[in-house]
Amino acid sequence: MSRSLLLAALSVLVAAAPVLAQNTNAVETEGQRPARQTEKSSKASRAEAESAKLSAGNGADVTFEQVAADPDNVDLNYRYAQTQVRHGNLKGASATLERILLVNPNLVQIRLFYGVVLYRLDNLMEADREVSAVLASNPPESIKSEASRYLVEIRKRQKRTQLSGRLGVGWEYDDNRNAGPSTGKNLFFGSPVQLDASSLRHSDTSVLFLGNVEAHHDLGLPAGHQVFATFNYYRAEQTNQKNLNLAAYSPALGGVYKTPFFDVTPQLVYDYVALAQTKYMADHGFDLRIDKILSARAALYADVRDVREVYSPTAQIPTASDRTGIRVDSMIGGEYSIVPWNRVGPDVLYGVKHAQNIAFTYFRKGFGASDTWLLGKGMFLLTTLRLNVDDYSHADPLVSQGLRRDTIIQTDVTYGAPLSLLHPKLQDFVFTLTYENYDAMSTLTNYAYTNNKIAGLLTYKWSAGF
Amino acid sequence: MKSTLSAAISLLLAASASAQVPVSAAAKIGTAAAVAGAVKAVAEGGAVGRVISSGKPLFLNDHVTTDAAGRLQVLLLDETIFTLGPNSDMVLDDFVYDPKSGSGKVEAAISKGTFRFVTGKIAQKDPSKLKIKVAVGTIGVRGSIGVGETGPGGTTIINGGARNADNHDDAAGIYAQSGGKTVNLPQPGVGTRISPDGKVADASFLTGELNRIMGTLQTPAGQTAGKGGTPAAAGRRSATDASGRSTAEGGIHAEASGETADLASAADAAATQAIQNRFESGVTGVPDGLATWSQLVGLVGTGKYNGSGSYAGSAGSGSATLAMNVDFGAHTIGGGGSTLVLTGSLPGTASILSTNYSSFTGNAVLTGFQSDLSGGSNFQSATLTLQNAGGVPAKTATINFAVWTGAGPTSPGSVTGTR
Repeated sequence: MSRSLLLAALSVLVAAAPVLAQNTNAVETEGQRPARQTEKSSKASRAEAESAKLSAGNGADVTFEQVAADPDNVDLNYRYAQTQVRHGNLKGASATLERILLVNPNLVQIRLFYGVVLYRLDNLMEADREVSAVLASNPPESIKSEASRYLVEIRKRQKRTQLSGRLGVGWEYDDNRNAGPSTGKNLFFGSPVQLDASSLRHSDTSVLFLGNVEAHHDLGLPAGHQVFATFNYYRAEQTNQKNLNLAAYSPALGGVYKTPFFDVTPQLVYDYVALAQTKYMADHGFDLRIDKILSARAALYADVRDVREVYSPTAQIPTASDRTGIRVDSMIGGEYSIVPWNRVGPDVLYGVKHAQNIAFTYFRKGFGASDTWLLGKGMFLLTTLRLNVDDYSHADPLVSQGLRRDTIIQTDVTYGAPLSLLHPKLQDFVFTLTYENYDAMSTLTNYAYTNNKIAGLLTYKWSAGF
Repeated sequence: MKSTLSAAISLLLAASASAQVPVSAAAKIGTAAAVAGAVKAVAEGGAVGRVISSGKPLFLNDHVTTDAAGRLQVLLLDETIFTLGPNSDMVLDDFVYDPKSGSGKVEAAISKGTFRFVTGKIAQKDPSKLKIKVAVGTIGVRGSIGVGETGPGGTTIINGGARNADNHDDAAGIYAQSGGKTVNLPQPGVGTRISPDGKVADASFLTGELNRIMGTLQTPAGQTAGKGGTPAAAGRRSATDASGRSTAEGGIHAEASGETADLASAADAAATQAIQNRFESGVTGVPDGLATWSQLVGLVGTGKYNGSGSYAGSAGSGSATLAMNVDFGAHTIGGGGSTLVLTGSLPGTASILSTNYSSFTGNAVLTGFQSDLSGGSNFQSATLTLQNAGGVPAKTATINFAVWTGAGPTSPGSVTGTR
């Protein structure tokens, strides 16, 4: 090869380097983005439901000792039941309300409260009986309408096939949407190259769309085994950086096998991700999760996900297929309720990502911690912290002879509130506001970048029973 | 005289005999509640029974029985709750509890009758520490609610509690054991039967049985319980009652002093009824229109009046928004972040301070209410009126007010909130 030809080839590579750097970061983060967003939405939905369960008046707390001293006092017991609900002790509240109704079974408001507590306990047969009794007593219109609403929900939940879903629309600001390196330079054959303006960090806004449909079918066995199917959809339309428009969908099919000691949840999974309206990643495989309740406060889980990721080259990311290969993530985590309204959840993970180009094969070790703070009335605050360390097994000579190690710290905080706080008819809408900080440190400057995101999401939830 | 002296000595001896019941050996482990019908408790080894009424203490090894109309709840110190139906028979034969750590042990033996239990702090700490022996077999918990019936004809036990761990205060499920076999009952409505010979059936849905048993545990509509149950068996206080262990030769006693207790019970019942009437307001109803303070006194619970209104006049015009708390149990209205917010040409936010109405009489109207508004300097006056609607007492709250700039003309306004 002549010297002039070599120089020409190097010139082309140097010119391509900034684009390559930008696209590399995009490839590595974009594939996980829809799944992260969907998980956040799912956690928010669960937290909202749990927080709503703790809502019951706002009077002063009553103690068990006060009740034991005057156990037939209706007012005292009513306040005690409210106290118990606020403290997450629903089964205790059910006993207290049962006591009031033993003293006087004609208290329709108490009976409705009792039915609602049983409903929240998922004790649907007894809830149905109590709420039906309220309606049969010809209560005033306000009680009647509330009882009717709950009876519809109770009957719906008693069906063996449950269909539920969420539809979300939101807005997001990202101060480094293209994951531009913090130094403004990329290594190329070990030498730093100044990135051109278009490859430096750029903020952008986007409109988000989320969709989720879940069908759970109870097999009707005493153990409570289930089969289920889920479908998640995610779409982000960028305001400026259209080449980072994302669309993804993820169907899954699985079951829950319940034993007296733990629940086993195997499922088949598939993910499809399109970048700028072009397919660029799809995966398929399986996920196996085991849940074990240790006590009233503590639970453990273990999860293994094994998928084959297939990256498709696009006009913007011609080297995407270098990343094609098996990804295995395994995680062990737990949840512990410090108090009924605050739960922490640590986890550790170990993962392997194989790639056609072994320069992109890495091993991941991670630690996560989350806190779920139920603020009552459906409001909640979710905080998560995640630290991942990715060790790449081989150097990428195009970038550097040095081995790559990425240390990623991700922090996010989500506040959520149901719109029923504004108007009861908006009970099916939940608003969430999320701040996320993503700090990727790396032994290679190409992969060291930060971004901050703020997202607001309005979610509509629905359910049906068949 | 001699006979009188003899009778007095006999009474003293009887009292002495009562005092020798091993009170000191038996610790109080709980309280009886919602007692209906005849309920009695017999101490371990005693031939003597005590009439049990609501509020009476229960002791370790008490043998509690109910008659054909009897029902009660047993509130153990760790907040484990047993509800016993008619013709039931239970012995509280082991109870150890450390309130600081929540650890301990509960064992009860139910030889006949219908029952429901809700686990308390001991089972929450360690579910294996709650055991219920039934006529045939044993019931254990993983932390939940159980419903059952037991007797010589066998035992039925059904999960009556939470379905899953999403109810984060609890791990769900109970189990039944007999003859070395354990059957798990993981979700509500799932139960099993233990035959008299000790054989345990596989778990299945026993929803019909659940409803039937629950029917025996509940007070029928139209009746009330508490404060000692039926008149014939009403729990009456005795001279030895201070110890919580009144006894008499030959079983259940009745004493003259009980009349006082009954009067007290009647007074309590009247006060309770005032509260209950409010819960039943949909049935008994209150007339629509202006509420009276006396109609509010018996109400319990909390609420919030939310609504909007407007003001208009020479001083300016705009909208008004009300968000006002009411705590019927504490007899307070306002406070806790209650606000009246004005927008428009005289914007401002007034905090509605808490007012205790427990001593008020007459119509539920607060005049001179401006003194209860804080931070709303543009308010010149305000009056709060509570109205009954749809049979619900104090369903709406209206504040009529006048605002100004601090001098000159005023603009009248009104805002109505509904709870």
